[in-house]
Amino acid sequence: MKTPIVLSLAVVANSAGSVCLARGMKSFPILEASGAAWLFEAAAQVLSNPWIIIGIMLLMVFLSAYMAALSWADLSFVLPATAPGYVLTAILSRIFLEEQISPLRWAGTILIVAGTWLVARTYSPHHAVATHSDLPRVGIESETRAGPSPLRSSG
Amino acid sequence: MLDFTLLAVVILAGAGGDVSVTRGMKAVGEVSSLHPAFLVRVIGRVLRTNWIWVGVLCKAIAFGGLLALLARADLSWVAPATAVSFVLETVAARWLLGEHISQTRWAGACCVGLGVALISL
Repeated sequence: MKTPIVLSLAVVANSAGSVCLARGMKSFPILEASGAAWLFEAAAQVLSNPWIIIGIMLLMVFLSAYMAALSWADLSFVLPATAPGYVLTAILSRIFLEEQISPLRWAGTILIVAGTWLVARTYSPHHAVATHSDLPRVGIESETRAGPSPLRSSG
Repeated sequence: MLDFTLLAVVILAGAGGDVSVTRGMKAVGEVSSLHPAFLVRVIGRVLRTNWIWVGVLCKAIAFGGLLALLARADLSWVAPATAVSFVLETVAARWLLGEHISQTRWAGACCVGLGVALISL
């Protein structure tokens, strides 16, 4: 029971956090960059914006929940289980940021969720061995071993 | 065009950060106990590991890039577009590391690639 709760928390915190960050960043006028002093001033302004602070806190909640889930569940389960978050982010962008989402963009988002599901299937060593028992074992092991590491924080 | 450049910064700096932090934490060693005195020693070792600082710098660049991207582009494009990392990882694993990539994984990477193309139209 704890897995669905923690993963739902992760998905909602990630989508809501992204919306807050986007909302905060859209409130600044777009200025041309000019030197290191400008960079520090811009960073100070951005990091003191309430939307950005709430967004960063929500992303910290996401990261904690996601890493906690990974401590007892496989990435091959956690990754596809959180992939529908792309759809939730699109829904929240439409409601809270008033973004126009074309049918083509919905289709693309759903295709990305499907693609994430397929990629995640290959992270399960059992699955890879079961489907490719005719292939050399070394290749399969190196793929499954190397797969998860770059993804840990991508969600 | 600037949007895609920023997206590349977010993805490449993020991946660089993951690799550096992983390398740093492997050098620090396994966190085998949650005893406060042990954790203080682990934190001390983490802060003295150069790879950790490289990783933190990469992650900071990736986050700055993400914020810059969010100031310019729609979130409904930015969020799914970061999934293009699955395609890059698959291609890098095949051509740089010479790994065997299963058909399922190619199918997934193609789906993601096509999806990113659709949301960018």
